[in-house]
Amino acid sequence: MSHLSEQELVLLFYGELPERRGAEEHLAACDACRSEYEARRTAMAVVASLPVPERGEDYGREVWRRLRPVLPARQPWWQWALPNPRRWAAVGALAAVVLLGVVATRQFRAGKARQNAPLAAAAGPRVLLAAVEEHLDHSQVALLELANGDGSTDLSVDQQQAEDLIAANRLYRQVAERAGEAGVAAVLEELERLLLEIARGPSRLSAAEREEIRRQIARQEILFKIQALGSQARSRVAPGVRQIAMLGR
Amino acid sequence: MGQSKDWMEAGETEAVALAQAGDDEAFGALVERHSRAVFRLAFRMTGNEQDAEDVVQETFLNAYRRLRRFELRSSFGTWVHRIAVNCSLDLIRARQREAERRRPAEAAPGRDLLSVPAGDPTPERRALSAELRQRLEAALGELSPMERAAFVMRHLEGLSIDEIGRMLGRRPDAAKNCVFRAVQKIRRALEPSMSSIR
Repeated sequence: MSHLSEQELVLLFYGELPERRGAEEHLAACDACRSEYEARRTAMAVVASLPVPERGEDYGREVWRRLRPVLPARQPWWQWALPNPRRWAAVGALAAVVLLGVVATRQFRAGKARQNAPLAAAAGPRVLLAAVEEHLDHSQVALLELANGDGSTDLSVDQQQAEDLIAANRLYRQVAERAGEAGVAAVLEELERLLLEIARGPSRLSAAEREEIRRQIARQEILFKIQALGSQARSRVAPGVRQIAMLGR
Repeated sequence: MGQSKDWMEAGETEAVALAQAGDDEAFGALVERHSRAVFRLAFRMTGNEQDAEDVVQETFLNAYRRLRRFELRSSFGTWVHRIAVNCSLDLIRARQREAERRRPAEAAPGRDLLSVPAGDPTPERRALSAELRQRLEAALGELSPMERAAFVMRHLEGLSIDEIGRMLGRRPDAAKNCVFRAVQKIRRALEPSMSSIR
């Protein structure tokens, strides 16, 4: 058996390696792997020893005492069925977003990236922004993870994630263009180019290549633009639309 | 009130059912039961005591708002932990945005954006070698929010990779990757101090 990889050592440590028996036998016979395994085990024991501030037995009661006065009033379930134009407008808006997402996913997965003007028109700019807010959040996390990852790590998972984001991004950009949201469309276009570069690039990055991506992200100020656009979306989206949209999380 | 007493004998499922039906005392009992575990998770996620307290409050407020959507066949504790993870991630990201706004000129994406302030020193913290602790806290602060969340759940909460994927709304491969990166970064950060404790 060849030496255990970094991933195998970590999975073995957590008891999640499928070929556990073979790995343990190898570990018993191989000084180099055993030493690597021990190094990880010791480091992880240090992490586990980092203490958490103690909370006493009555901590739960304290939390409840603080929480109770700020709990929002709850409505009986049947009041949801009563006519309420604002609520139903928000539900309708969310339905448009969901429909948009479902159609988009199907289209792009099937490789049928065709335009969808009727849905775009139905969605409207505020609904678009509510949906874009979540997409931007995911994109930002993906870029940060990539920029701060390790050079020796296999990037295939990140690339798959970038591919998923590209499909959604393309749709949102098209809808933004049709809705006349030029600023939103411009940022999404820039983000799309970067995601494409990541998705279609090599699946392993050297330190220099990763540094180049990091520099590119910094040069384009894409994280700043994403955050600015996210703030804009948050300030423009009607609270009802967001609240309902968050229920879907 | 009679109903509130009943759930104490009947158990958590009944408490949740009563809370869903509008019994705030039953919800209070659930808060009391799960607060310490949520605090521990939140502290490990945020690395800061005050932030962890904020996460506890936000978690139970969110749970209260979404209570009717909770399905009784699931575990209330797991559900609340999931909400706490999301609240922690939101807070960490908000801190990053705040840091970036404060220092736009220095905002190299990465290191500075991802640092999380450490909590106040406690006697236990002082007991761990100062150098080692410093390295460890720095390493934890360098993890991306997703790496930190996945690592805390795998290493400190004992969740499986699959469970972590479900908690974070990611594929298992992505969750696994986050754990690998976190372990790698932490191990490398601690390496210079490891010879003294082996």
